[in-house]
Amino acid sequence: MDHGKATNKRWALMKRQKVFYLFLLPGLLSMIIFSYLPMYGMVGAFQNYNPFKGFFHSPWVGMKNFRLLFSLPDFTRVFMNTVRIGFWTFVTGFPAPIVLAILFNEIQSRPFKKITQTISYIPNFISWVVAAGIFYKLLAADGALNSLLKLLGASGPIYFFNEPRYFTSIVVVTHLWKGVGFSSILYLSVLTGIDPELYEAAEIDGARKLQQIWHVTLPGILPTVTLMLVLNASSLLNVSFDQLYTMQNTMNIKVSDVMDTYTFRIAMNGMMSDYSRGLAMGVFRALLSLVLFVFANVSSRRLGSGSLF
Amino acid sequence: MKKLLALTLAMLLVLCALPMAGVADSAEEPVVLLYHRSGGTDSMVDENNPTFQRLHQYALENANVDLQIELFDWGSSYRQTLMMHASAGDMEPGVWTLGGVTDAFASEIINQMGMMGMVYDWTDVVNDTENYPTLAFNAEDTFLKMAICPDDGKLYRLPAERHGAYPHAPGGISIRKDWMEQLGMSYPTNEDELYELIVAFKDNFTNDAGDPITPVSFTRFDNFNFWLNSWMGTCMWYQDENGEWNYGQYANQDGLVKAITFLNKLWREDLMDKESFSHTNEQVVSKGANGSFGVTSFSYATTYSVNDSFYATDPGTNKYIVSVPTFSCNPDLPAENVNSVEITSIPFNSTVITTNGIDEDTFHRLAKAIDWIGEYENSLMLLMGFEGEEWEYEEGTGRKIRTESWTENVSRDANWQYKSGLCFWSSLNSNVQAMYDLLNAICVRASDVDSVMNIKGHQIAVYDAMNIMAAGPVETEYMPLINDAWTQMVVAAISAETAEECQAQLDAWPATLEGLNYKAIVEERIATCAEFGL
Repeated sequence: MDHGKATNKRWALMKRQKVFYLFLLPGLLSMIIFSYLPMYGMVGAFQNYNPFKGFFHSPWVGMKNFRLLFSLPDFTRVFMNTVRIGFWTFVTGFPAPIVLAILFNEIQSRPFKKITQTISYIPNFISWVVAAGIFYKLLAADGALNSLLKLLGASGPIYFFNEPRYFTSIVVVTHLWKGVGFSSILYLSVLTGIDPELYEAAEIDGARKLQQIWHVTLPGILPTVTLMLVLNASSLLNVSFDQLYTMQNTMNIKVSDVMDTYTFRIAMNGMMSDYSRGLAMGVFRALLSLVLFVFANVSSRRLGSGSLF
Repeated sequence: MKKLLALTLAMLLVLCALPMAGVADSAEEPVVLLYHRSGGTDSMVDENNPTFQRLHQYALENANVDLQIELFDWGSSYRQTLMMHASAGDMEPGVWTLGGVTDAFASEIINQMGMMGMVYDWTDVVNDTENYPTLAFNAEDTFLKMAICPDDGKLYRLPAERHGAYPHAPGGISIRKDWMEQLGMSYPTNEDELYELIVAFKDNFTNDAGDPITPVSFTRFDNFNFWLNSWMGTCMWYQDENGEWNYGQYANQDGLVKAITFLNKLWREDLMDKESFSHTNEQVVSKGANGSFGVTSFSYATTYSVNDSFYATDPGTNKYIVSVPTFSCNPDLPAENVNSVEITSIPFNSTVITTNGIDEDTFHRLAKAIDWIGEYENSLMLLMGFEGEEWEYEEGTGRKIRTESWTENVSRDANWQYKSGLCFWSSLNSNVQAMYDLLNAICVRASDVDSVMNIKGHQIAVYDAMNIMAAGPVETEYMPLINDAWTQMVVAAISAETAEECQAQLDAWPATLEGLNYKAIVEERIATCAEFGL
């Protein structure tokens, strides 16, 4: 009886809030159609997938594609490249938007704040093909950076895209340049929600700016930071294919080749069987991401910072 | 009586009208041969080009065929794009030339398309030699056999373009002609002369900004077979002093090592642009336009784009990049020709006709049109152009040679064959003899024709069967890895800081190949060739 009453109450509430559910519907449908439904494609990782036969008629091969994948001569190297690039983009790319949001929050002049925010968002809307072209020009032997170095007394140009030792730095810097502005929006919105009286109270107590940031601002955004940390941890291995593919070349490939670009390149040289290998790579990465996600969530909960579930 | 007269008159009128009705019926609409061929924006047909207009009119008047070309640029993801379109069933209706320069794998896709009913089966028309006399004649037996789908024995692709006379393709090395003329140097005919020329360029020229140049720059092609094949002619044939045709000097393992070592020397001595493997095509064109290099490799798009950039700023310019025969070609080839001949390159194109949007009747009309293209005179015209306009008979010898006006006005435009549409029709069932005569006109003397005809048997067995027959399971598995490793090895060798490092990279290659099952691939191919009696 109680259960029935609870159910009725729930329905009544949903009915009253139907407009909100309608708002939710497109996003939900989009997620189902583009994120959940395509999951059945994972079955291709266990098949000898033939696009002409489709997922329902391609022959089943079990774990063969995974065995083939792990036995590829360069698999270890591309896996380590993925981890390395993923790690550094995460380590730099996670705190940077927080710092930027805090800095934006401290700007007093509204026009100046708006201008700088807008400028910081714009790179996010440039495709990686264009962005890579920009950086190729900037870092070319006759590009702006080498011209500057020449003015400062450098003996010869540095071929940034040739030398493997520069590649990770280029990826990190370009990744930051492109994404930091847009990523700071979320934190900025949370910062604006912090009660200004807290800052006033801190000021009265004699706290300097940095101390206010440490004792008021950061604790205020901590729940959001925790949430984003857990979500980003799962995408540690999801390095940007577009970015790496456009910046990769045969000179830097030993360090620039990641799981996605390697699979893609072999597939472009290969045949239908390589779809299955690509799918196997996708499944492998998804499993690792899930492990990382759960680990981050549990760690966050144990450290008392809250968790997603 | 009057009634009888009226009836007779009416019958007479009907009898007269009948043939008129027949004439009206037989005035068929031209069949549209919408020909899809791979190519980028630099190989667009110019519909206002006089040669193209003549071609188009000729085909309309003589065969009731409306020749149209549509280019598709699938770039490096050719196979995958083909597969996506094929599996989605959204190939645009028309005639397609597929399986171009890369590929045994495309053959498998085409066969799958055939089995799914997406493309027509050519078997009946090819066997109908009475109505389609040139289809089988021009697609020789071995190729036809290899093109048959192994699963159902049908012929879903018509083999096209054999014997590798690529008269429109500048082969190998492209050089700044005005720089050569300023230095009084002639076209290099061997490695040493090329090296001298490169050093001379470096010593004597700067770019537009007054900075020193690195004379050699490549486009950023990652397929090094393509680079080396064109640059050093590693797959080329040449005719020796005895008139014997031999495989090019770089076409064996030692030769390849020699070619790579030479390029490494250029790298170490700062004669090669160190961004050759990392810059974008746009950067190359920009460098070429501002005079930052003077020697480059064969490249459809980039070489022509550099030339186009010169012409755009100065239509009367005397500076342009001209291609020369590679060292592996007949050294007697006239070096002034912009268009040299890549004798051995046989991209085994497959012509397919989609069932999508094309009924049986139209298929037969299209097959008839392609058969018409395969007739001698038509092939000659579609490859070379028109007598008196693009070519003429040489006095005394009767050979077909380029006209003076063509040589003066057209030959400098490296894109002319694309603009005129001439090079495209050659993919559709070209007549064998016409191809030889074309060679004859461009570079090879009449006495060489017999020798060229003798090459073909060698080419199938010796050159590379990969472009012809579908890959077996071992090759399917490992060839992509080998191609990938090959590219990286070549770059590592060429860009090595010392000669010893370069040699070490080359020495490590056999072990890499062994690890990637290369021996099994060779055995698999030998077995397949044996099935075809090669």
